Formats: sequence, C-alpha cells, structure tokens
Amino acid sequence: MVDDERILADTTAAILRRAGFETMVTYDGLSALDNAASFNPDYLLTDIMMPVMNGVELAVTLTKMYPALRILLFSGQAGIANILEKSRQMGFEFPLLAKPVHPMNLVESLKALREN
Amino acid sequence: MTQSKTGTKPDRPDLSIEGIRNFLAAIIASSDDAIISKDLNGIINSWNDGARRIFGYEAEEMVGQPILRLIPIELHHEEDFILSKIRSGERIDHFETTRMKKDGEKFPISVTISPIKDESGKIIGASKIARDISERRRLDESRYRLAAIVDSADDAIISKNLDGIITSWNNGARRLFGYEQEEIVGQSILTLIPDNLRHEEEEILRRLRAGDNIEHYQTTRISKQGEIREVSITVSPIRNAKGEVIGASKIARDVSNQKKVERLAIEAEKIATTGRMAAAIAHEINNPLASVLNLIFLARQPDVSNQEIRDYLETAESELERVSHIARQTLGYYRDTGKPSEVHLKDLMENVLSVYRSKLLAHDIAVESRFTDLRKIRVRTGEVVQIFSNVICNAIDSMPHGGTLLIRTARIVRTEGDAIQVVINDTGSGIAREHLDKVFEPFFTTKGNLGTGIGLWVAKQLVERHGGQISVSSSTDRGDSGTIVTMTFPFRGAEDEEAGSGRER
Repeated sequence: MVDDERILADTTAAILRRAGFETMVTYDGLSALDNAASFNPDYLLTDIMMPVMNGVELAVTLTKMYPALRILLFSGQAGIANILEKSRQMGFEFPLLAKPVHPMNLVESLKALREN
Repeated sequence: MTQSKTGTKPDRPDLSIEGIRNFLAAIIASSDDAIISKDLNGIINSWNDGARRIFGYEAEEMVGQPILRLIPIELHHEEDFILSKIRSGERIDHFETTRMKKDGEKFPISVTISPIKDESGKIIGASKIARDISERRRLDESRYRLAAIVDSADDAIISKNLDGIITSWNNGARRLFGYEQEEIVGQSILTLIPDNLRHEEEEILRRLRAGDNIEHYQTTRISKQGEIREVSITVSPIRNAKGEVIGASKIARDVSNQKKVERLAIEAEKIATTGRMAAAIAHEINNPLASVLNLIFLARQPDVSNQEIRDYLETAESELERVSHIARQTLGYYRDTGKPSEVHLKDLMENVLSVYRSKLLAHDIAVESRFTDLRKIRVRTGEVVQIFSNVICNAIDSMPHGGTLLIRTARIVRTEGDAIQVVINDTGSGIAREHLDKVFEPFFTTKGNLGTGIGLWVAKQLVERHGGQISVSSSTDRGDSGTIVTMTFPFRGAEDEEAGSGRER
C-alpha cells in the first residue's frame, strides 16, 4: 500500500489486513521500491500523484521486477490523464479506482484482480 | 533728408504715360507667368522673361515667329479658334490646354488671352498670359488619389475643425456610424460621443491644440441608430501652411468584434482555470474523504476496543475539518460577484497555494513566501485568484523536476500612488529570450498541446483592469534558470475602473 496521505495509507492497510492480506505500507514510491525485495509483493495498491516518483512510474518499475504483480491505481485527482496516457504509450495499462471508495469495494477490486 | 521737403515724394506713383509704361514693363518683366503678345496673324511680337523660363526660348528666337511653334501639331486648330475669338473682341479665360517647350516636351498650361486694341479701338493683336500648371496637376492628382484611398478605406476617416465641427466624412464613417455625409458634415463631433464620455472630447481637443497625436485610443462611440460602437481611434492634428493647427483627422476602427473575441477568450480561460482548480480541489477533498470512509469502517468492526473507536472517530473528525477548510477557502472564489472588495492579497495567495498544495508537493517544489503587505486592498477577488493561479500553474509546469517557488508581496511607495507588488519567482526552465516578448500575446504557448496560450494574456488583461502592471523576466542559463513575474496592484486601481466603467463595456 503506497500513498503519501499517511492516514489514508495506514487505515487502508488496516482494512486490507483484516481482509486477510499481508500488508506493507510506504508513503512514497522510492521506499516502496527499496522494501519490495524483502517483501516480495503479489499486489500493488498505489496512489498516483506523489512526490519524487509517481504511482505509475512505481507500477511500471515493479512490473519489470515482478511480472506476476497485480496492480491497482488509486487516485483522487481528475488531472492525471496525461500520466496514464504516458504509461499507455509505453505499453502499460493499469486499472484505476477513484478516491473516495468504500473499503469493501476496494477489497473486492483487489480480489477481482486475483481471479483475472 | 532735408532735400525731400522740396523734391517729389519718392513713393508717389509717376502718372505720366512714360511712367505707366515703365511700371507695366517692370511688372511684365518680373512676372512668373509667360506674357506674350502677338498680332492677328499669330506672329509673336513680345516675349517676357517668364515666357523664356516656361518655354525655354530666348526673346530673340521667338519675336517674329508664329505662335504655332508653341502648339503641338495635333492642337493647331486651337489657334484658329483663339484668333477668331480675339478678332470678335472676346477674351478667353483660363483655357487649359497643352503646349510645347523648346526641347519638345509637352506640358499642361492655363492661358488667358485678351484682345489688344489701338487708340481707335481697333483690335490689332492679342496678349497672352500663360501659366505652367504641371505642378498643380500633380497636386490635383495626388489629392484625387488620396480622396480615393480615403473613400475606399474600411476605417472611418473623419476630419473636424478645432471647434469639433465635422468637415469631412468618408464611406467607412458612413458604414460605421450610419450617417450620410450630407447630414453629418457641419454637425458637432459630439453627435457621435455617448453623453457620459463627452469629457473625452475636451481632452482630445486640448491635446490637439498642443499639437499632440492620439494613437489607438480605445473608447466607445454611438451610431445614428443609437448602437454602441467599440472603436480604436487615432487623431492627428491638421496644420495649415504656416504650421498652425487648424483641425484634426480622426481614424476610427471598429473593434467590437475584436472586443467580443477577447471577452469570450477571457470567459473561456476563467472556465479552464476553474477546471484546473477543481481538479486540484478534488484531490484535496477526495483524500480525506477516503480516509474518513476507512476510519468509520474500522470503527464499526466488532472486535475493536472502545479506545480504538475513539481514536478512529477523532481522526475522522480532523480529516473532515480538513475538507471543511478546503471547501471554505476554495468554494469562496466562486461566490465572486465581480464587485471589488477589501482583502489582504496574501490571503488570496495563500488560498491559491492551498489549492495547489499537493501538486507542489508531488512536483517536489518548495514554497518560500514573504508577505509584508499589511494593508488591505480593493480588488475583484475572483480575478486576482485567477491571475495568481495562472502564474503559479506556469511556475509549476516549468519545474517538473522540483525547485523553489519564491513568493513575495510588499507595499511599494510611488509618486503615482502606492501599490502592492507581488513577485512570483520560480527556479524552472525559464523562457527563451525570443519568446519573452510574446508571452502576453493571446494564443502564444511554449507548452505545445498542453497550453491554451492565454493564461498570461488573461492575467495581463485582469491586472490592467485593476489599473496595475505585469512584467516577466526570465533566464534559461543552466544552473541559474528561472522566471520572475512581477505584478503591481495600485490601491486606487479597482475604484478607478469602476468610475471609468463606461469605457470598458
């Protein structure tokens, strides 16, 4: 779970843990990359607009390291179309969930990724 | 000097026959016109200096020669006609025709020919006074050419005297204002000026008398049908040969369409700015809302302790306060009625910064602000927020890899009245020297498809509507690049505009 909004990151992680996910929280893209090796993630749930490294860049980088990684982007901003367009041109298309979202829907969206 | 008492007075004309003859001879010799006399057979018998100058022949060459030598062959029939008139005692006045110089050059001439009579009253010949009119013809031609240009111009071209009475009126003026030339020439120029702008005419006349030009002055005029015309006028003094100002020429261009397009562009940019700000505001609101949903969900879980529930709810409460704060700050902009109100510019700046807070954070841009404007200023807050927003968005776009945004507001003391100066300084990529002149032009952008090209132009319009100024300086030098936008808002600006509102609308 990666989001620079700490309260949102922490509460989302608590909810995911309750739903049975083993969850690691970081508040920016670079520390997510740093900690990925020790954690070996199956899923990435990340905010998009973050300092230093945005969520899409993080997703693209981690996909290369973990080809099986299931990714869900999570954003509260409308003005991210050009970031998504850039990743689409690079051949990456990630599902996107708009904030705010009810916790149950969030968990279901993640589980749905497993089934696909 | 004592001799003059007994002698004839020197300035009294000598009225003897001899005296008159000498007097006439002197006039003839010194005349600029050609004065020639001939007998009834058309043989020249006198030739003055003016004739020598105009035709190029010496008197010795011409006296005794037929006058036909001066007339082009194809016009020889004219001489028969002239001689027949003279024989019957008639005079020919200002007859315009063509004659030939010694070198064969033909030129336009105006001649007056009178019969010469002897003492018994018998006609014995003719005197001929001829004037070279090539110069006058040239002037006539250029005058006709000018008149044609004036008449075919799209702009209204009007002249008036120093009392403001219209003295000429072209087709463009007829199209723009609806009056025919016959009904408006002789009327006061005030006919075209709306009642509330009559003071303008006094000022225009005052400047004209001083010999000043007035260029591209934007104002409104009124047509015959009572419709408002937005015009840009240029007024220049008309001088007589002595250089005295005797009137004015006035060129008026209809800028109603241009104004309409400008207004639409400003409206469009307001909507675009609103959109950009709404996206930023959405982010600020959606994050805490998402947290609140999570916190309430967690608090509702059956296995959490009372202490945990209290903690979750407290955090939810403070997140909701964050939402309220943003809503209060941002939604307030759109309550802007367009009427000026008293505010601290720094408050408006802080509102804009709070809207772009996460965008600044996401781009790793540090904000350093120094606000020392302690006095409130009267401005239209919505417009000022838009100005700041446009400039700050440009600054953010110029720093994709982070940087520092320096913002200062300070009161400045000037002879023309105190003002608040706002300086927004980024450490971004800067604007290339060749683009710097164009940044305030509409539809100029260096951002490719991402820019609308009217952000700074709109900012300039809005700053000027507050009676202020905006300027940009920039450097693209590596390691030292950045852009500084400086704006001044005079304390009296918004009020002045209110008073002169007839001009804007």
